[in-house]
Amino acid sequence: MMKCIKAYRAYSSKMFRVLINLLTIGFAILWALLGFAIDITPFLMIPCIYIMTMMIFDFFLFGGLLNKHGRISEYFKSSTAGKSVLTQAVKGDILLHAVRMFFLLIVWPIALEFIVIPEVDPMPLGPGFIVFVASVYCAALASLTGIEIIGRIIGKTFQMYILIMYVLMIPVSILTMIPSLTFVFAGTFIVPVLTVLVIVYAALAIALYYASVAITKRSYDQKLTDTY
Amino acid sequence: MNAEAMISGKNIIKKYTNFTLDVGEIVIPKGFATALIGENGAGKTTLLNILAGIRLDYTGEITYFGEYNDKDRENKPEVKERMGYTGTENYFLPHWTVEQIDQLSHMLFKNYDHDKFMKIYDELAISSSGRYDGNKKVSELSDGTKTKLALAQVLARDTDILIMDEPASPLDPLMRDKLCEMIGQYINSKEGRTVFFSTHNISDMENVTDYAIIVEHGKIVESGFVDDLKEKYILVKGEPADAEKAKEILYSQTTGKYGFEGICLASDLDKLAGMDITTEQASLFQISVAIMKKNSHIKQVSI
Repeated sequence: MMKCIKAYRAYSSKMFRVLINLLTIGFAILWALLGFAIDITPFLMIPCIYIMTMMIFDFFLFGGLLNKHGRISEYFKSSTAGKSVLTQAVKGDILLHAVRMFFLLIVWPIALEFIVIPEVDPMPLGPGFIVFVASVYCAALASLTGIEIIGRIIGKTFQMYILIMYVLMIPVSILTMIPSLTFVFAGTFIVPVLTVLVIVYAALAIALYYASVAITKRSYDQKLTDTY
Repeated sequence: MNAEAMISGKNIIKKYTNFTLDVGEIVIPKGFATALIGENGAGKTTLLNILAGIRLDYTGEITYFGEYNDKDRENKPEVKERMGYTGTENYFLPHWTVEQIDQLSHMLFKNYDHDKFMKIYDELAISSSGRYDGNKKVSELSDGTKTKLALAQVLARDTDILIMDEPASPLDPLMRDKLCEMIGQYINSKEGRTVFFSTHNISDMENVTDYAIIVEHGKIVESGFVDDLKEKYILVKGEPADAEKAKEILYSQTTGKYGFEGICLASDLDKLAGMDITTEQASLFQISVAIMKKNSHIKQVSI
């Protein structure tokens, strides 16, 4: 387990780790303030925001594993252990997600229920639903990492990974938000809120996709002219 | 001269849209420094990457150390453990620090020696301040320093063969000289140690090159020990009056006011009988350029 985390930490960019965690804290505070402003306990939103932010973090993590041509660094390939160490890094990523999920979706609501704010019901759709959503999220993450490993082996490009990631993760992330949204908006505005979220996410996905295509294409063009 | 093969390959083919690498047979002799020479786009990097196991999308047979095939290379860690590789750009990811590279090498390679890395880091003056700077990012290093770092990393491992893609290109003349010295030291430090590198800096690397392989348009057009090549090819100098006649025999020819010079096969010398010529031993650079010129698509430029 320690080896997985060590590998994961070694391959991910420290700057982005710090940045994303700061962003997460910022989002959490923002949501808390918003919640207080509209007189609704917002704590259930925090896990959802955190999860979504971690998705963006994954974007940078896996981006960091690949070189600018969208391929895995030759350095990894020059060692037989390279592939297994990469796999360990991905396992470390899954492991850390699982730990986060456990605390954010199980420990945190239970703490709210019994310790922090006893009068608030943090599980409007029941703990079973939250566990189900957490499982779906973890399963999707595991599939993605599987796709990523296969992608690395067969040499798929970075933009393909981003596309797959967003196509699969958008519905999962929205699904993850449903219990909290239902709670916060009491079901009244769930459809317009989800619609706005889908549009925002789709726009973000398209923008990131095209940006990565442009960057990768330029790098490829450069590579084709100077090496064979 | 015949030598045992460190790496040998047969019928290696890798197809791109507008280019095909097609190597019928290749031998990297054990215990020698082999240079892979060719013009841009000739297939040098592809060939090196295939032999080093960086590229897997090819067909053909490759034998390592006389006993392992390319499947073993991927499945038996002892094969790649014995092989050191340095690539060109993006070998290390730009956000990695020197310390991370040291740590990662520990994780990736069993035979990696941290103390040796530190020693070579110091000897190659990788840090401009003269002190070890583990927090320095790869993206902050110059191209030459990146190459020095890759050399320090690979030489800190106990390997039997070094495969290096263009190690000399980003280096200054002093460091190129040092590179030649290091290649010589590596080969002499243990019996059978072999170096295989691609280069455009033939003159700078000539004094360390034992064996040369010349590739053009994805095919090996010449290979052999440098001493044998220098017997096979000869530098011919002659009078301007004979330039046209000699052109048919010579691989390449440069003509000036005072005469011509060019490379020809030693076996073709008798075809130049009757001309007022002198012969000299050609350098590897002259031989390589002549062979490349003969096969190149580059045309005469009119200025």
